[in-house]
Amino acid sequence: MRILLIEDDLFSQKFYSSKLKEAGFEVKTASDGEEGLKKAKEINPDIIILDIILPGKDGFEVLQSLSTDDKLKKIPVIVFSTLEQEQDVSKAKQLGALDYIDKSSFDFKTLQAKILALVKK
Amino acid sequence: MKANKISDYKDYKDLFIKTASSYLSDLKRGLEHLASDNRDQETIKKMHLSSHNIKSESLLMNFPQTANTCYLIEDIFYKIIKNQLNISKELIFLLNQVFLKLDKSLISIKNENKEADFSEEIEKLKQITV
Repeated sequence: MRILLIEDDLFSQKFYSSKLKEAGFEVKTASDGEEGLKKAKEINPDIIILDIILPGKDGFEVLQSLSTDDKLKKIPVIVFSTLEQEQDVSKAKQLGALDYIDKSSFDFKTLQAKILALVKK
Repeated sequence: MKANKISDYKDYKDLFIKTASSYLSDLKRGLEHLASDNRDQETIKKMHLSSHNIKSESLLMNFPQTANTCYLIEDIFYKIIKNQLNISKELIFLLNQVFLKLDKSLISIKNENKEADFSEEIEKLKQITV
């Protein structure tokens, strides 16, 4: 299963990639929204994990762009969020995100379960 | 705000110090710039991003005080972006103090695996964000 992780922070990118790869996923990464959209078109991932806070085009704009592309809009998206900014989660879901992960209480098993649940649909 | 256990993440310490230090440098440079031009949206957004990333990394590395401090800084810049908060001289002074403390904390983490106590700074930052 191929995951595209759109996350600008190198440390977080390495951390989440490593955990996902250990669990058997194939992981591609992008460091900003534009690169993320480009890679999504190139590799057609099974799922996208997207940070909302990004340099340049933010996660909301990425979701907007995904939703207007006939091919890309079919890819399920999980967003990273901070619990205290629940309005961001609502906004992300309105723009097409199917689920979210709260970074403040991150648990890999939860992320893995959400990934598998979305891909099965 | 809860943080995760780091027992599995020792290998990430060097990368954390490197990246967090880089973000902190961005914050300090940004603050210097805002002291003379507090309407520079690009700088404000970059500082929002930098504080967000130190917060995220600190959560993964189980440094909850650093994470909480940077969460509050992130929230301050989020509110500034949304025009809900102005950049005052008092805010710049406080952020300068906090950034100096973050510097010392990263050194402490590097040498002793121990973050600084940010209780006082967290209370002061909360006064701003309420």
